[in-house]
Amino acid sequence: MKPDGRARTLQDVTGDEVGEAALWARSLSGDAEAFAAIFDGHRDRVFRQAARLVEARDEAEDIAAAAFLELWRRRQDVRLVSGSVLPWLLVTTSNLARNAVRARRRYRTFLARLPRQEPAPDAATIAMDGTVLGIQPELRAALRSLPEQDLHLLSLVAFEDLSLADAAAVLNITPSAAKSRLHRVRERMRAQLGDYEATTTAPGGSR
Amino acid sequence: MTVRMDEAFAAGLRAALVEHVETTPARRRRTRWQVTLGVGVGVLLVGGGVAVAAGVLPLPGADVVTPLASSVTGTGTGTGTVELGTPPAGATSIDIKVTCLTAGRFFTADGASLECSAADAGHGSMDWQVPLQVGQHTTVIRAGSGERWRAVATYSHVTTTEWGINADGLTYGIMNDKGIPDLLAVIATNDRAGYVYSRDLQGPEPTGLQTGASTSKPIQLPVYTSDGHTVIGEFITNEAPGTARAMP
Repeated sequence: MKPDGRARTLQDVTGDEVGEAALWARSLSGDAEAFAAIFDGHRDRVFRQAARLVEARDEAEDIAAAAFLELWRRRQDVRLVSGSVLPWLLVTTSNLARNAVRARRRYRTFLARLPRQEPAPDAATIAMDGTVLGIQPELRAALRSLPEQDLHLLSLVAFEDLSLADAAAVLNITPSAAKSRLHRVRERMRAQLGDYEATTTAPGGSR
Repeated sequence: MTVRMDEAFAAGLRAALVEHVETTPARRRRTRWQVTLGVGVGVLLVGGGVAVAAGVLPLPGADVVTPLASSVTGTGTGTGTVELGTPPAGATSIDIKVTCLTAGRFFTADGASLECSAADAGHGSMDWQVPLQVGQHTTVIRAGSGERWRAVATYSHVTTTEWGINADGLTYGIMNDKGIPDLLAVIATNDRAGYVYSRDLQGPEPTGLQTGASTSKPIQLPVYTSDGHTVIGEFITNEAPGTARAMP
């Protein structure tokens, strides 16, 4: 793990120099602020992952919210990978996005309480550069067409910069299997999208 | 273009999550749950069920479950209820062991779940304590249509033991609802049971966030007896987690 700017913010929030594993342990004991600190650290990456798969901002927000609710609901099942819940969160986000209708139904009441931005300027953005939430529609369509594990691998390694070992761990496959599978999915994306590497190294923006 | 969550939405979601966590009833889980920090090179103990390895039963901070009645065994297909009869005085929980008899996902009344593949059928199980509500004399197991399970349920009294305190005034034991003790129980790479300083598990740099980049090199930590001075082995964290299990 390497520290970044947000790590210091996190320490400010908690008033203590704690790692995510410790924050998670505190969350498990019912410490809501520790859970909120984990949310602070991962919310944008979770939102970006949702935005890679659904067009509308409010739908991506719903999926991100559901991912954190799932993190809490299934907290006893979550396994940390390299001390972080992020790999689990990203995989869960992708799964929720793939089944967005069911997820929205489960949390409809909760989601209805959340404040919303005025209608998102997505139409204007589309007119400007053809993207929605910074994602090319062709890429989004290609991602949605991928088999589940291929989508997870590509998202974790190519888009979110997780190590191949961590991605393999969260997907419960061997690193060598992950490597060959990732190679195949990159080839497939290249075939579908042309200059895939040049345009989609980190769709949705960098950290 | 950088995509970020809308600040107003994020603030609202954060507050709602805090409320959601705070209003979730506490639940207890006994044993057999492991945090994967260094896979295959040391085991972080977080439950009393592995305490036998430490030669101490229970480990400081572990739950002690005292059965107060005979066990009741029920089986079901899909969602079903186990009837336990009138609860005895002093019962605080229903201690339940759920075994999957087919592949599927099985939930206790308070949401704990057991996921089984076909290969797990007949032996995959979980132990759990469901908090007992006033007037309650049944507990439900939720499962999908055609998914079969067996549950052994017992009225129990659950208490959490105190962490130990060593001569330096440091707490030692396992993680529990109260948090993390100063010295955290582990099994060292030489299979000896002991403790690591929990602050050391946070690594050489306080990170707070896993950025997702390649992880740092494995960290070797000394494993001590509960005095925090006598070294009896080592514990390795941040090993490439090739065997970690984390399937949402």
